[in-house]
Amino acid sequence: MTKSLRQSGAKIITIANQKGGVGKTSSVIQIASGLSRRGERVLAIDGDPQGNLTLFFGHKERKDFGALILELLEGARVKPTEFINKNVRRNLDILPARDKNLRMDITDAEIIRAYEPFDAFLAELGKSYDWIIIDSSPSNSPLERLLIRASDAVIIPLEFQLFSVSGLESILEEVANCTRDSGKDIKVHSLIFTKAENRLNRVQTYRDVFSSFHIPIFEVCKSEYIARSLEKSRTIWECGPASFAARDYTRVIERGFLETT
Amino acid sequence: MNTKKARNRLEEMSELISKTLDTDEARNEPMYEYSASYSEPANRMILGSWKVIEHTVKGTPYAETFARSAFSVNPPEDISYEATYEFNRNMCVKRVLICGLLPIDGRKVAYEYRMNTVLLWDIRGKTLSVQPVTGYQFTSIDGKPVSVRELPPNSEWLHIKASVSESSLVLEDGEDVKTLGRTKA
Repeated sequence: MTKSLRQSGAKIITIANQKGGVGKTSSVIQIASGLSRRGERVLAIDGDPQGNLTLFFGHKERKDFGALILELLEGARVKPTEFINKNVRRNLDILPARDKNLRMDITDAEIIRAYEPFDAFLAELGKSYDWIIIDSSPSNSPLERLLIRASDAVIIPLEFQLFSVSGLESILEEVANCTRDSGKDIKVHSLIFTKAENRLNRVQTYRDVFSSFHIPIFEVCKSEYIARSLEKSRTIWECGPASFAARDYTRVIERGFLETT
Repeated sequence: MNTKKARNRLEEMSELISKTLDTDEARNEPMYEYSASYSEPANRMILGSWKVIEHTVKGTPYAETFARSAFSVNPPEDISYEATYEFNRNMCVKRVLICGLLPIDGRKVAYEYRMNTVLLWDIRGKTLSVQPVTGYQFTSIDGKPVSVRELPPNSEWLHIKASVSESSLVLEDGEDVKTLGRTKA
């Protein structure tokens, strides 16, 4: 029997894939908001300097993710309240990213130095939330490693495409490296095939190949509601709660995250 | 890149990935959740075990038709008939068991007929195509084997009208109609 994240005791979850456009940010939005609608206390962290998660939920003039890394590097006593936008939705807070030049402003060496303080910061923050869901950028650098290291588990969104599956190999290797370096048992909990289109023959080929994998694999269908959701800054629960895509994310949340029996 | 090459590369990659993932999670059951937008195609829905609930030939129960065709005089009485189909990904195992009491010399003795067949199968739309690959027939009377026959492979595909739903499968081969119920997914 495959355990849900709750059953595994995992609460800090990074949504990661080094390939872009596979639905990482969209998945963070729908999962984090879906969990919060079920009464779970959720913090979404925008760990992608592109700041699309922040753009979606909006932000007040608070310090952002980049500033957090700098303060952690300075060894300052960091006050989470200075970074977190409270209640972007009921029960849902966000730690925003606004510094699109973060990779130029903070060197890789500095980010590596921030690994342990960031781990400790998130572990402490985790006491105030049921879930911390982290969005990451589509690359393979110390920044993504910082996020994965601090996580209990990783969920990988991908598409029914060979390049996307190829990217999966790299992210698995990255998670294994993070596990080794941090000494934490970081699990790849599940895969989410996004943009599923039943009419495509190759989709069935992927289903045949992946259906024997021993981790949970979910599909989320390609949906106009998701595109509309992102354009209008409304979650799928707000703009298409009865859509197939909403039903697909419901399964991710209920079976992947919350299931207890 | 052609489809076959792409599939081969996908299989190679997924094998590596699967190995990486299957650490202590190896004991987990596979859990693949299709999108809610996906309606099961017949070839997936038919997978699993099925039991014949009703089987008639020209409206007459199959067991009676069988008994009359096997024995022109004194056919077996009190006949019971069981048939199951087990559809796996590439093949189907069909098992038939007919039991009854055969009147011989003023007494009734046990009659048993078994047929087990392995079939290749494919379903397209409403047509189930099957090709017998191997099998055997076995008959015993009064507990003693009287006939064992290996069934030869059939080079031709047989085409049967089929309609499958979540819980029932109806197979129509002319006037031979079987209604099956699911016993195991």
